[in-house]
Amino acid sequence: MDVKDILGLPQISFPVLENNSQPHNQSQRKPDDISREVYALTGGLAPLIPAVDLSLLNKRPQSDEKVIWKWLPFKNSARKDDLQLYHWVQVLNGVPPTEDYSFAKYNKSADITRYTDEEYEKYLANPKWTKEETDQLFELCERFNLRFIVIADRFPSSRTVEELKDRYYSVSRAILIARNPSSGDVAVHPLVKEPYNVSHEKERKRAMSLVLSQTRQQERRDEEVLAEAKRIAELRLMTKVAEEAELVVTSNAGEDVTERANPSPSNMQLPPIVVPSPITTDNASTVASLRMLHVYLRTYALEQMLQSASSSAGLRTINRVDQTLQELGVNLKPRVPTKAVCAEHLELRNEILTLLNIQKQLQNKEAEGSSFRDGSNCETTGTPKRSHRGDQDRTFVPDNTSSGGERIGKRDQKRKASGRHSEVPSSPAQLKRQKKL
Amino acid sequence: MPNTSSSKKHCQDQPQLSGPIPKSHMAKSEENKKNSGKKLKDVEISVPIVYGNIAFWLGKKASEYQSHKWTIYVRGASNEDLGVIIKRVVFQLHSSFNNPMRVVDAPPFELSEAGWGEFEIAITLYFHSDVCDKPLNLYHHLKLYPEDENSSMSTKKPVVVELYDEIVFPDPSEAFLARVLNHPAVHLPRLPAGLTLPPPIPVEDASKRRKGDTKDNPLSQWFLNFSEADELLQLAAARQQVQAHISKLKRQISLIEGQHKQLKSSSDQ
Repeated sequence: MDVKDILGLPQISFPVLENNSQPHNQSQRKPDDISREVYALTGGLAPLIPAVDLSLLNKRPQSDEKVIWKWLPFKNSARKDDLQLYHWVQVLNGVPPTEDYSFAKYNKSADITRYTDEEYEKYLANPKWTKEETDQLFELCERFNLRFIVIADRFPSSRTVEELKDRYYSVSRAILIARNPSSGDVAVHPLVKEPYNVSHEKERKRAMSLVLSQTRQQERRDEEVLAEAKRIAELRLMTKVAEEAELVVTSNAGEDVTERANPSPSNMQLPPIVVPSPITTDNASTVASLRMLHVYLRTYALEQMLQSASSSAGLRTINRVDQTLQELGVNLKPRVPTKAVCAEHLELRNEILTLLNIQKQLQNKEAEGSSFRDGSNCETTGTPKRSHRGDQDRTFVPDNTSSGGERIGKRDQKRKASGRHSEVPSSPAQLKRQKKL
Repeated sequence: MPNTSSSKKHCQDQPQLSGPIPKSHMAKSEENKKNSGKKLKDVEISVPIVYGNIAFWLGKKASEYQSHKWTIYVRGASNEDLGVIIKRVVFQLHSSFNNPMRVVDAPPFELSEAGWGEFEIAITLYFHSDVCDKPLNLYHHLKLYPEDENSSMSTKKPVVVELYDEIVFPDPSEAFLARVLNHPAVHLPRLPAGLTLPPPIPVEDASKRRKGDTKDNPLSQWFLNFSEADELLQLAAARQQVQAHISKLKRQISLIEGQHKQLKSSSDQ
């Protein structure tokens, strides 16, 4: 819509069927019987509940009817006095309209039960309220149609709105129950079912006014405190779960958690150094949060596990893991995610992480090695390693042994001393040396 | 076959069964038998499902607004009746459809419609009260047109997109467990020893249940097969490769460390 563009409001539309939803959606199309400009005034959309029947807007009186307008008196059933008012009325074919004033039907008032004096004596006596006051209250309620603010204003003795409401509702409730002691219908009447609670109302209004009168600073401070509280609660939950996990460790269960946190001899698969402990807590807390869901999809669970793993490992590492998976010919998201498959998938990912870590270790070792030999001249770590990261990832693509051959030759020219170096087969090491030289 | 002790689910010996998912398959529970005194937290029920759509091009009978006839559905992975777990399924269609919220109260949980557009359908699964009182949401992008833009559309061969997933109930109630104990649509773990279950509430008779499964569904000829065997093989092979590489690298590291030591001792002299 042009108006929305001018105001800079976002347009709400379905992403897929943006342009073509017209034929399906009747309300977008302009109704045929009113002109385009008139329709556009409504914002281009038909109103939810049309106040006036659109077709009547354009209706013209038929040629055989004669329409005259006359200034006539009318009857208003909503008025209780005899005031006679006049207005312009359409007269068709000499017949003046005889219906009641069209707005009289909107004159609705609330249903207020009035009590008799006997009933007052029997059920409604209250130390804080005299009969006079109660009568006055009811009078005002009827007159002002339960607008308690106005009633409180007009009430002769000063009483708070809550007190008035309390008195009115408790009296009405008592009357209802008294008049229908055995009827079950009364029990569902809202007056009976939900009695007015003065203290609650007072408290509620106080809280409302507090909230409304808060300054912006206070709002901000409140938000901060809430966020902090949430963080603390989450931390507590995680540590609690981690503690639970460790308890399980001591009881020698065969959980995933156990293996990683505590290399028990029967389950040792990988040397513990390579597996950092954050993975433990993440896994355990993910499992706990999944269990709290009561029902979840296997793919969702897998995603949660992956997310917790990636939060501890870093985006770059995760991309490398994904790349390795692709090279190995494994689907990044298993096509048949059964429990077994998901478990295997996660295991595989962890093993790839281990692999990447070991590769890094290897590089570090070699860097140390070359720093030994070169003495002070060399740059040990730093950029050279980084620039050929791409190469070292391709561990599962046909090996660069051929390129390694050339390099060995070049290296030997410069470095006569150690023949040992040519034994080292890994290509990243060779590349590194190449750059140094 | 992946049978290594490091896999999360195995606390004991149970080997993985390859091949298409068999009935009463024993998936592993999380904690061990020492904790079997606890309530049913040790037992996890999983229900394998397949959901997706099949779309037929209407060919000559296609109009501008109804070019395809499609069916969206949720079925058991082995075409068993899901009615024992799912009470009803609600499909939320695009707002341009009449009554976009379509409710299917009885299995088979499918919905057929005609249209021209592809959009995301939100599928909400409502379970029986003893199963779970929270509904589960799935999302499926309705596919009508074939992947390959150049391939011609035929009225005989539909476009089929199916996705496999499993509904997991991590802590089922005893009543639920009793009810589904031997149902083919449900995968149950090995129950802890000494677990006595209340007698199941009498199930509807078998004939009524039969109609809920999708084995004889007219569309069943187009259903895809989902076998975990291939995936497991693939993963096992990959893991082997990775492990081999790891050991190779470890050997290199120790080799280099040896060299460093020698160097150090030689330079110190």
